[in-house]
Amino acid sequence: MLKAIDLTKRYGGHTALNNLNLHVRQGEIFALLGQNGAGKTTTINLFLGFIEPTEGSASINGISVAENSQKIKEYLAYIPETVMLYPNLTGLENLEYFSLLAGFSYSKNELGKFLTTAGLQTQAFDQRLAGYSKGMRQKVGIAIAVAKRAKVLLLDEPTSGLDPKASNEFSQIIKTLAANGTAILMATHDIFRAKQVASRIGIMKEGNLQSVIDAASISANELESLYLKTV
Amino acid sequence: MKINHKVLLLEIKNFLLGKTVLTGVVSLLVFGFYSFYHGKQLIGRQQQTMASVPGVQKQHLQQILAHGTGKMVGTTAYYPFFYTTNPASPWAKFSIGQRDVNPFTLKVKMLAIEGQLYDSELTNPLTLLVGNLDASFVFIFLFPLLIIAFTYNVVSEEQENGVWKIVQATSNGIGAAIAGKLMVRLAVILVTTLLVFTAAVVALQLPASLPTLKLLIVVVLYVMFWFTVSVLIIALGKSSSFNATALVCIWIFLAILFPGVANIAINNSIPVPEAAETAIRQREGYHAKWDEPKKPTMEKFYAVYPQYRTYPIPEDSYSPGWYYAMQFSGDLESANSSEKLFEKVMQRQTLSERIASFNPVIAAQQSLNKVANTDLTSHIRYLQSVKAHHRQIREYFYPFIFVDTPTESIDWAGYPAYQPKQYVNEPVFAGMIAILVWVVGSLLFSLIFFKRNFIKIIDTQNA
Repeated sequence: MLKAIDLTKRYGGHTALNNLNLHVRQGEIFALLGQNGAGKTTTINLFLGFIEPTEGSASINGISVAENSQKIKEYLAYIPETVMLYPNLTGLENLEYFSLLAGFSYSKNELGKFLTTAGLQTQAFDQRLAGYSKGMRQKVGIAIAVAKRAKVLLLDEPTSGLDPKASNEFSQIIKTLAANGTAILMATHDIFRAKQVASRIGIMKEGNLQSVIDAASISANELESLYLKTV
Repeated sequence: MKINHKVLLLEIKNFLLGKTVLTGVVSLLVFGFYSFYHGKQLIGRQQQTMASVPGVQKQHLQQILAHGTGKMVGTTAYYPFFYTTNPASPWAKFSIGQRDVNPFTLKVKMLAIEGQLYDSELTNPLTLLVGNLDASFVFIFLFPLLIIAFTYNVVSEEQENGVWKIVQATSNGIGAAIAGKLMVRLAVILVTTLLVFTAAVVALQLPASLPTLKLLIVVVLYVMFWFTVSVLIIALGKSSSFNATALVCIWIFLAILFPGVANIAINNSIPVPEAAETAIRQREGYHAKWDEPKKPTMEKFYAVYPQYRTYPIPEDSYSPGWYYAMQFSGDLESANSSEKLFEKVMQRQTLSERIASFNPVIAAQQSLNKVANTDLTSHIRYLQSVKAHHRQIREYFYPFIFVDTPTESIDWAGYPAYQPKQYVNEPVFAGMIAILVWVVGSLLFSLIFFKRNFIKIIDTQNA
């Protein structure tokens, strides 16, 4: 579903991403661990089509991102570290706005169902987003992805700054999405959250994918030791 | 590029609920209402003064007549002033133009005219410095600031706070998303423009006629110009602070610096020393005549008025006929420089109109003043009408002066009445085209920059 072949990104003499080879299948959650500057966000941005690769290719559902940057948007959704939406619109209106941008028109009931699926409390639907907590905004972000029927979900530090309860709720939701067939690529610093939700975990250092681990085959403590040894 | 109407409605809601809109529109309405009050007050005061002129003229002539009874017309005719007025057009309240600095009433004596044309009331320099806060000021100077406030952060603010990445990742067409945001702002700007303009029409009682329509077209084109300039800056894809700084700099350049520099350039390229020269020549011409033989003076007069050649003018003593002929010959001697003065003033006007094609702010202001008949050309027309009236008065009284008629035996109010100049429908098409060209140009460049900076992938580290 989501494939990188020899994906490389250089900025002048600096290599932000070096020969990344990666394949995230349908229903799989792949977590990218690494320090700041390891190349996690560059990888996400390359899949989003925000930047062009220097070498190699990124593809979604077999379609090259660089060559079809508009077409691949039909398949993907993106949730950044902080979901900033329109503060003067309600959660429901924000969801409607982004759904319409994506080409989907839903009734109020349907929009409400998406927000409920994402875990947002009903009484918050009609409140202006300016009054939402970060966790609530992340949930609207998930609802946007769900409403878009995205086959691929790109997450960039999605649980950063969330309290443990909100973070746990978020993890449960993305697990549900994966169970429904969504391929998820998640960049994170959170080793324990990665272990909790991911099928596979990749550790990155200085633009290189150093190792890929099957999450089920390793304990959280072992993962932490490996991570510290790697970075 | 298809824009969903529901998206537009949500964009409108998001935009209107922002603090900028309310603050901007309310501030503009406050300034707008004050400008209507100011325009009405200033022109109202002028009209009140002009309305009192016939009464003042009548009373003045009665006093002159009482004072001159028992004397000859030639003696009495030295004293009376003859009043002229330059009535304001109904649109002058909208665009005061030069009506606050140029005299709107001139009283002239039968003496040489040139020196009298440039008499005017002293104007408080502080008032001149501040300028007139009339409706045209609101549209020409304040509306651009509102447009800048409404548009400088379109897209850039969303890029800065992170919304834009989600829009980019979600939207099927980024062009439509940007167009939607711009259309909403344009709609709010145009509605505000129409609101303030309609309020001006009602408050200033502007007639529902072609000049009012011309004012509206100029205003809408001008507003469109500033909107497209803002769009052009947005299209560069820079930060909100860059956009705001660039737009305010453009505003300062176009609205303040450029007109100032253009004014200096015009004054230097077409110097008008004739204004002072004309008055000096006329005064010198007049004073020299006292010591010169009367015959040459009279010959100049007879060349224009040969019918008075038969009346005797003593060479060795004062006579009223010679005195008024001498006054007239002062005007004749300064006629050349007077003509040059008007010619050069008109040259300056023509040059400033050419320069206006490089600056829509000047083009718009000139067009509004033209429609309102408050520009320099309009004042020149008034001065010409005063000169014509002065001639009529002289020609009415000359027969009584040359024949030595007693003051009380003539009708002092029988001279041809002053005919105020009529409203002139000045063409403003060139000004409109100049603004339109800028609008289209800015829009084309915007499209190129938008395509380059937003539609294509931007290869930057922070993308």
